[in-house]
Amino acid sequence: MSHYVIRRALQAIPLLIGISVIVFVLLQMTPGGPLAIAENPGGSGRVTQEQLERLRAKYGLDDPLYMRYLHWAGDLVRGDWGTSFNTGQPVLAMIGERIPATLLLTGLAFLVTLILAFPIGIISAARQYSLFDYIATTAAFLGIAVPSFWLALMFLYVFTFSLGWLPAVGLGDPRQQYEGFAAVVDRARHLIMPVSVLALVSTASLTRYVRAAMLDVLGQDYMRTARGKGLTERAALMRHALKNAAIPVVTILALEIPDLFIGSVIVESIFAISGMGRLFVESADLRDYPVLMGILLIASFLVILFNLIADILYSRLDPRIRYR
Amino acid sequence: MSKTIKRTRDASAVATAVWPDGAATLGAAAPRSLWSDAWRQFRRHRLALISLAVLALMGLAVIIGPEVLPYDPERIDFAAKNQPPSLAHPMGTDELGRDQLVRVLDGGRISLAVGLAVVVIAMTIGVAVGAIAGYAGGLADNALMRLVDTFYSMPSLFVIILVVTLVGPRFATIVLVLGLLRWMTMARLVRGTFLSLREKEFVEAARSLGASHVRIVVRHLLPNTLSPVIVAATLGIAGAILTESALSFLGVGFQPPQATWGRMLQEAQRAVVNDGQWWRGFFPGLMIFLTILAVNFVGDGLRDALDPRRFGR
Repeated sequence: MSHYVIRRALQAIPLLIGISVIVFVLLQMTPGGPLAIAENPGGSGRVTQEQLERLRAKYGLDDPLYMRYLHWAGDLVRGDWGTSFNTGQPVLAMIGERIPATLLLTGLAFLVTLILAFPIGIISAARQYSLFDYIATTAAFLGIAVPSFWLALMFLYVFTFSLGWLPAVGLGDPRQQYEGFAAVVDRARHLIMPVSVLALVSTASLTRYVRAAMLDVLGQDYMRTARGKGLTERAALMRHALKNAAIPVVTILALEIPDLFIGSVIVESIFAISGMGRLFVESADLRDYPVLMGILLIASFLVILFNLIADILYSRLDPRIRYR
Repeated sequence: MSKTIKRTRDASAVATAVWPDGAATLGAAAPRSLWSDAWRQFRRHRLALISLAVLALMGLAVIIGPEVLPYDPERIDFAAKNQPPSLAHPMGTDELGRDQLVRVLDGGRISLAVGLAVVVIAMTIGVAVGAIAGYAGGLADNALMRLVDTFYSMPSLFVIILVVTLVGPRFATIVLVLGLLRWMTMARLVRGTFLSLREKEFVEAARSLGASHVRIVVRHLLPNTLSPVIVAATLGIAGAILTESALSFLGVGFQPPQATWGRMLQEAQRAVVNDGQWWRGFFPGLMIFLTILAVNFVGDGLRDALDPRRFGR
C-alpha cells in the first residue's frame, strides 16, 4: 500500500516539472524582464552597450535556455520566487499574506458543500422520483448553469441594496473595533454571501454525484440481500449503502477543493476580499508577472496535490482495488 | 446522470424510450440512418428540444437584432441614461444612455462566437491528439497522455488570465487560449475508443485489404468516436461561454466599448449595488444563464440520443 502511495507521489514529479516548464516558457514571453528599463532606448538611456552586456551576464540572460530554466527552478526550490514588480516585496511573502483569507473562504465553502450535498443527494436517491428528488435534481441542474458572478451581483442587490442586511465588501468593517463575540458576528456577516455563492456551484455538482453514486449502489445485489435478511430500509441504507457510495464521491470531493480555490478568484473580486485570487487579478491588471507566476505555480501544485490525494483515498477506501 | 434526471422529469418518457413505437417496431421496421434515429430519440427529450429552439432563437436574435433595433450598441445618449426597463428600452439603459437590449444582443454575438470557436479548436486538437495516441499506442501514447495530465493539472482560469494579460485581449487570443486549455477530455475520449477498437476484426479486415493507416483512422475508427465527441463538444460550448464571461467580468477579457455579457456585468457592479439599478446586471447574466442551461439540456438530449446502446431498435 505505502508502495503505491510512494510510486504515485513520484509520478507527480514529472507533472510538476512539466508545469514549471510551461510557466517558464510563459515567463520568457513576458515583455520587460529585469532589464526592460535599461534596454528601453526611450528611457533614461544612460546605459552603454558595454554596461548592458555586463548586466546581461550578471543576470545570466546570455545563458542557453535550459541553463536559465535550471537556475530559475533552483531558485524556486530554495524559496526565492522573485520580487513583485509593483511593491518590490518577495512574491512568496505577498502570497503568504493573502492566503489566509482564501483558505477561510474556500474552507467554509467546502464545509457548506459537504453539509448540504450529502443529505440532499442521499435523500434524493433513496426517494427517487419523489417530489423532493424532483426539486433537488432540478435545483442542481439550474445550479451548475448559474454564473457565480451573476448570482453574487443579484445577492448584493437583494441583501445589501434592497434589504440592507449584509455588508457588500471585505471580511470585516474597518471603521469598527469589534471585540470578542461582536467581531465574530461581524466576520460572519461579511462571509455569508461570498461563502454561499462559492458553495452553491460545488453543492450543485456534488449533489448530482452523491445521488448518482447512491442510485448505483442501491441497485446492487448486496442491497437486495441486506433488505432480504430483514434489515429496515434505513438500516440497509446506513450500514451498507453509504460506505459503498462514499468511494466514488470522496474522489470527486478531493477534486472539488482546487475548483473552489480557483472559483474564489471571482468571489474575492466581487466582494473585495483580499485573498490570493484577488491578488492574481490585481497583478494581472498591473502586469506584475512574478506574482502571477507564483500564484499560478501554487494553484497548479494544489491541483496536483489533490489529484494525488483523490487517487490515494480511492485505493484506500475500495478493498477491491489492489495496487502493488 | 442525464438519464436519471430525465426519468424524474417525465416518468412516461421511460416507457416510450424502452418501447419506442409500441408494438409497431416488432413488425418489419424500415432501416433508419444513424442521424434520423438520433433525431427521433432527441425529439423525445422535451427539454432538450425546447432548449434547441431557445438557442436557435437566441442565435437569430443576436444576428439580426443589432441590425433591426433603432439603437447603436455604442451610441451615447445622456438624455436617456439610467432608465429602468420600459417599452422603448426593454432591458433599460446604462449610465451613458446606451440601450441595454442592443448591447446584450451585440455582446451575445461575441459570447456565442467564442463558445463555438473554442469548441472547434478544442475538438481539432483533442481528436488529433487522441487519435494519434490511441492508434499509435506505446511511447507516443504514453508521452501524449502525460501531456494531457499536465494540461489537466493547470488551473485553467489562472493560465487564461495570465496569457490574455501577456498577449492582449483580442478575439483570436482569447479563443485560442481557451481552446488550448479545453481539448483534454476530448483527447481522452477519442483515445479510449481507439484503444478498444484498434484490435477489432473490422480494423484487421481493413488492414489486410491493404488500407493505409490514414484510411483506417479516418474511415473506420473516427466515425466510432463521433457520438461522444459531439456530446463533449456541445457541453464544451457551455464551459467556454462561462469562462469567457468570467474573464470579461474580471476585466481581463474583451475591452470596452465592446459589449460582452461578462463585460456588461462588470460595468454594472456599481450601478446594481450602490444605485439599485438591478436591470443592469440582471439581463446580461440571465442571458449567460439561459444559454448555458439550454446548451446543457441539448448536450443531455444528445447524449441520450446518440448512446450506441440504444441503437438498433
